[in-house]
Order: sequence, then C-alpha cells, then structure tokens
Amino acid sequence: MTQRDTPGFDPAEEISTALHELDLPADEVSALIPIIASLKAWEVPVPTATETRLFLARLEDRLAAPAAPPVSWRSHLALLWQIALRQPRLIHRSLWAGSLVAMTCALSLAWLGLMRQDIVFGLFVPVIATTGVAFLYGPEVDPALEYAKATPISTRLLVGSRLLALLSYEVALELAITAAIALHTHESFSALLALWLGPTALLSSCSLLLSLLLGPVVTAGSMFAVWLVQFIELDQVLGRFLLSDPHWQTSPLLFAGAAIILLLGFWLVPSYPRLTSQHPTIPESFS
Amino acid sequence: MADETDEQLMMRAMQGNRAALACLVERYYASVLGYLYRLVGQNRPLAEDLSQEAFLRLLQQETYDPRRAFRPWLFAIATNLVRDHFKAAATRRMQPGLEGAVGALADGAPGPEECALASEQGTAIAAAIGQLGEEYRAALLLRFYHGLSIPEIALALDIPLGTVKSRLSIGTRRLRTLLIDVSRQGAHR
Repeated sequence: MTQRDTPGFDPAEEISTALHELDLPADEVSALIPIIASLKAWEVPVPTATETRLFLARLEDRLAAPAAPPVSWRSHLALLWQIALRQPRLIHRSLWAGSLVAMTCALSLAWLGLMRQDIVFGLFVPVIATTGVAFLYGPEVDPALEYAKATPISTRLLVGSRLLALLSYEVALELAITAAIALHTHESFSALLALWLGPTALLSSCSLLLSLLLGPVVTAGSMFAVWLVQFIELDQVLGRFLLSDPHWQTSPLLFAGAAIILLLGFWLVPSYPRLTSQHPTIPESFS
Repeated sequence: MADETDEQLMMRAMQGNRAALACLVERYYASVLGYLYRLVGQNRPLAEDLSQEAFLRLLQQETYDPRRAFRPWLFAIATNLVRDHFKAAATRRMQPGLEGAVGALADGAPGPEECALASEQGTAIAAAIGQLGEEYRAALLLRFYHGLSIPEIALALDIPLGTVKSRLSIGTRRLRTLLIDVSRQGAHR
C-alpha cells in the first residue's frame, strides 16, 4: 500500500515570503504565487511503515557486510589486458584481409614500377590505414556494440584497444612493404618511411574523429576524396608542389596535430552523438 | 532519542547505535525518497536504490563534522548520487522525466502507479519540472517541496547564496512558462 505525500510548503503567506526572498518585483511575486501553490498537485509515494522497516533492515545488512578487499593494481592491469586482448576479435575480419590485399597491391605497383614510390607511400598507404580506422567502431560495423556499451567497461578503452590493434597491424604491413621496396630499389628506408608515417598518423586520427561524427562510409568517402584530389593534381605542377610540401611529410607538427585530433576523438567517444541520437540516454542537464 | 538533533543522532549512528540509525531513517527516508523520485523523473525503483545508496554513503563517511548541518548534507549526497548515476549509466538509461510525464499526458494511458498517484495537474507539473535543467530542478524541489532555506540549499548544492537565488528566480519563471506550454499541449491533444 502506498500513501501520498503532499508538500509541506503550502500556505500562501509562506510562499509569498519565499518569493520575496528572491528579490522579485511585487507584480511578479503575485503572478508566481499560484504557480508555487499548484506544485502541491504533484504527489509522490510515501513509504509505509513496513517499507521503512525493510529499508532499514537492508541498510543494516549492507553496513554489516564485510567490505570488499581492495583490488590490487596488478589485478586492474590484468583486467585491462584481458579486455584489450579480446577487442581485436570484434574488429570485422574484412578489415584485416582488406588491408593485406590493398598493401599487397601497393607493394606490387611499387615493385613493378607501375606507380611512383612517392605516390604509393605518400598517398596510397596512408589511405589504406585510414579506411580501416573509419570502420573500426560504430553500430554500422559492430552489431554487438549495444552489448559492449551496456557493460561497465569504458568505451575509450574499447576504442583505444581496437585502434591500437588495427594500427599496429597496418603499420607492421606498411613497414614490411617499405623494407621490401627499400631493399629492391636501394632507396633510403627512412626516406620512404617519412613519406607515410606522419600522414598515416594524421589521417587515422581524422578518420576516427570523422567516423564518430559522420559514420564510417562518409568518412571513408571523404578520405578517398582527399586521396583522389591529390592523385589527380599530382600530375600537375601544383599537385606535385603539394606532395613535396614538407608540411605534408612526417614532421613533429604532423604528429602533434594527429595527437590533438586523436584526443578530441577519444573525448567524443563516450557521448558518441550518432549513437545517442538513436538511443536517448541521459537528460541534457546532467551531461 | 526523538528529542535529539539530527547531528547528535548522526554521531551516535556512526558509532554503531542502531536506534539512532533507525531514528534518522524514520525522519528522512520518506523525504529523501520523495526528492529523488521527483529528481529522477518518477522512477520509484531507481529512487529507492539511490535512497539506499545515499544513506549508506552517509554512514560510511568517516569524517562527519557534527557542526555541519545534517539535512543539507544528506540532500547534497542524494543530489550527487543522481548526477553520478546519470553520468555512469548514460548508455543504459532512458531519459527520465519527460518521457514518463509528457508521454502519460499525450496518450492518456499512464501506468497503474501513476494513475493512482498523479492527478492530471500533477502530471503537468511533473512534465514541466522535468523540462527544467537539473540545477533549477534541484533548487526548486529543495525549496518548495522540502522547505530548505536558501543557505541550506547553498550548502546542499555547494553553490553561493546569490546563485541559489538566481536559480530559484529563473526556475520559477521558467516553470510558469513551461506549465502554460504543457497545458496548451494537453489541450491540443
């Protein structure tokens, strides 16, 4: 059985006094008195004596329960490691295979001399990694995302683990290609590395951020557009100038930009506008 | 024991006195439950869980200063728990307040508990208060439902006195506008 509660703040004179305390004009106080008086219409359930006794009994039980032993930092680390270890399995298999195929194509083109090395490493290789990152996280690419988000595990940890796994794989492939081409053509390994390492970091960060905001398909499309524009203009004087622009090569500035964009992406991950728009979650005022 | 102040009871409860704890629960459980019920959007199970957590957290504090007023402190803990809850459970929670209240107003088919508890006017007020920002909602609830003074609200919400006044002023004005809007929506439907 549920009783009813009526607010104890009812008499008109008390309401008037309370409103005057707010330094409101007299006419406004007069207008607000009926509003405050009407608040009593919103009643709430009041616990019965039995419910109060049950509440007290539960409270005493919880107070008497022995405190959970403190969790050691090793246990925390082990848990984080286990979570991180399982994330690569949740990345779609086509991303692993697609990257391998695309990188093999890039290697073949460079090896056979069908495409210039600056094009392969400056444009082709970063875009392959970028495309993978675009499909890393989101309801479109991870049907089990709702379950993952329903767990008390940080979404930043989930995304970070996946990003680390995929980028490690991509970079390993890219390093292998770079080493192969460097050996084949006797080019400087570091010079080839400088062509793609910075752009890969920057474009991957942009890709993660854009995929959170716009979705994977739009992100991948945008990245392809960037690639395509540069590819078209590369045959022209302006395009060549752009590619050889030292700001687009690996540089501390590029890594700093990548780090900032990556941090922005990670900051956005928990709120994840596209997902929250589909599933209303918390009142705006609490966010 | 009934004559003792809240602060005295709290000190004794912290020393393990069950009668003092029972007295505090008797005094404040209904009030805290009502506050949380209104603050979280008429979700009674959630309000009950948070009430339990509020009392638990209250008693697990090892640094209670008896010079500190008990009641604002209790409401401060309750308010912070609500904030934490909505932040932590963001992905699992449906939006409270509006859905229950306006939804009930719109389809005319509130749940059995709401049927028993809320009159149509009460539902409109719940909907209007649900649309206020949390900072205004908490201040209004504490002032006009629980009778806390402005200095007590300042303690409970950990904000300056002037801010309490401005939140109450703005909150009541907005509430008035919202109540008119909600009434119009109800009339159109």
